[in-house]
Amino acid sequence: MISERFKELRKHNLTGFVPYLVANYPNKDIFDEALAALSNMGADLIEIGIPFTDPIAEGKTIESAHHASLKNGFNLTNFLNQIKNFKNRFDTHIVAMGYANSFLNPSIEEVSQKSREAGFDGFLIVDMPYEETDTFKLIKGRDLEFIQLVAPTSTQENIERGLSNNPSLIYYITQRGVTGANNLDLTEVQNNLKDLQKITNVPIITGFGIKSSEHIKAFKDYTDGIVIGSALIECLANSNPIKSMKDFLAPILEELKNE
Amino acid sequence: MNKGYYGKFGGIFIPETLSFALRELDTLYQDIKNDTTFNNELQDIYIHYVGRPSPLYFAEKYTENIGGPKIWFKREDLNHTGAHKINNTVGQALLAKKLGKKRIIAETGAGQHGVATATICAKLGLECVIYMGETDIQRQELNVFKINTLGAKVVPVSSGTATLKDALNESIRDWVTNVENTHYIIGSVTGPHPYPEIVRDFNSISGKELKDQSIERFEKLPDMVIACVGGGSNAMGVFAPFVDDLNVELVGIEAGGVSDSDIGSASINDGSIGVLHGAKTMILQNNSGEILETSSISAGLDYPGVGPEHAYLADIDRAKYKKVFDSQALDAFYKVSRLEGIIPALETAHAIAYLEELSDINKDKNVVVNMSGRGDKDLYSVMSL
Ligand SMILES: Cc1ncc(COP(=O)(O)O)c(C=O)c1O
Repeated sequence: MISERFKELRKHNLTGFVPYLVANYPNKDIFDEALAALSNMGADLIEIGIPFTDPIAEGKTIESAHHASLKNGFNLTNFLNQIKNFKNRFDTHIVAMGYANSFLNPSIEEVSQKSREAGFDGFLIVDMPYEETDTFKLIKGRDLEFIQLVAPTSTQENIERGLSNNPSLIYYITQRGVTGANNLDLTEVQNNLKDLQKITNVPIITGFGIKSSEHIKAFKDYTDGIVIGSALIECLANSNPIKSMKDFLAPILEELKNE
Repeated sequence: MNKGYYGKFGGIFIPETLSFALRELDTLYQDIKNDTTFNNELQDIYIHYVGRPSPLYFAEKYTENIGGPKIWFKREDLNHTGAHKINNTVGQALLAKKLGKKRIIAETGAGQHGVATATICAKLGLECVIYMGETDIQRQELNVFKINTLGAKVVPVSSGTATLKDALNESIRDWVTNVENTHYIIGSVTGPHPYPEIVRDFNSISGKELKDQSIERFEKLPDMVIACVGGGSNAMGVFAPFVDDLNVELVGIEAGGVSDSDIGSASINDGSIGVLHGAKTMILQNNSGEILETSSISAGLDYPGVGPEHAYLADIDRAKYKKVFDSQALDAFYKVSRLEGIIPALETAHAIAYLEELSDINKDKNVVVNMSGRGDKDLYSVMSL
């Protein structure tokens, strides 16, 4: 269970490593290789972006990756077979992160069922509001966990409404903006994370625009996990993607493990 | 039932960052919509700035030509800026002022909504940024120049299909980033709750006027009201006051593109249920839920979704939705220009084209077409066909 993994990390005062990839970006082979490499590097949870034509919460980097993957012929059914193979070799937790329309087609029941069978541990649906309680029940009914987004603009009332759906994890969005944005206010994030922990015991991962050891240093004492997205996707666009990704992550992982 | 649903359509499918802004807007709107001061302010602008009420015109030669029912045009094309879009933008700009937001963003396809937004922002002294797809910038050059002339900024959008849907994506991204000082004026009855309701209500001024005018002119309600449907704001505005009058037939016209083998942009006729831009509604998508690249001769109808309330009215059979192709719209564009001396927008020409189907209807019936806009903006692209 994702929730147990993060409770365990919290118990030992550790901060989890949560990389984000876009399914089959930059292509199927490199994606598979990246997924395996990240597991070997000790990822606690891997978020896999399900490509969508209109990913409204993404900045340019991730949006382009979504479109590139679709252009390469991404297909969820084939992709789930790929995930099955991955899960046969690794027990790393993985969640499918994406947009409502990808999860509702043909139905949330069917997509949940098939994703669970393939080995997904949970869903993070970016544009699924807390009000859609029936959808969250259906997801949980298929033995999947889900992650709830909380933003700097979220009111306490709304956060509590979301918590009543029993998420396994909270994903705290560090800034007003899209993925990869450059407006991090380190102190504001720290304060908001502190406030969030007063409201709930649900473990919290933190992401959007995190790309350096300085960011990790600033946040790791206030969160149970750090999400690295756009910065990783940028590495994968390079000519030697896996090496580029590993080189980029080395100081970040070191900082994460640093007591 | 959850907030903002029309039957199984609607909802608030947005990233959490925007949740508070939509709640704030909803609360303000529910408070203010029956407020006398607000409504007086709005009426004053409608009368003295927009030029309302818009006339109900009897199209005598068109009636003769079709040889069926009496044909009337509700002249939204005579509004300031040349379309119905201004009914919504003035209302929302006043809401933005009440919210204390000094920066306005909007998406535009045909450019009419961009112009209508830039116009009221100039008048009220609000900063204004308009997102527009690069394809649309090319086919609606004149409106781009108008928007710039009005002191607003046009931001070209090159991602995806570089049309209206991508302009909407970019607007939502801007709004997520600047949500605390920015109000997003959505241009149609689309998007998350409360937008479909707000945009419908502000546009329903045309339907309310039409109700009074029909009693005045032909002493009963119309037998049929026809309007083109892109997102569906002009149609929803003119339909809304008649939804409970079951004897009034409501007909929405979607754009079919070149022919039936084309994807077109007829979301109700050819689409299936899904989530796009914050609402669960009828959308054009493939089996995996990817949004299709739509096409239409008219930029304002070239959108793969439709307002959730239209999806609902279609679902319960209260309104019917028909498809008109590019060439039929173009024929109507010329025909109404020559018969009535009114050059319509290409969007509106789709609604007019449907009149060809009505020659069998009895002569004492009254059919009203909502003339959603004038054709000036389309002359360049029609010229180059
Ligand atoms: C003249 C005119 N009519 C209709 C439309 C379509 O919009 P809606 O369906 O929201 O009325 C547009 C959009 O730009 C327009 O400019």
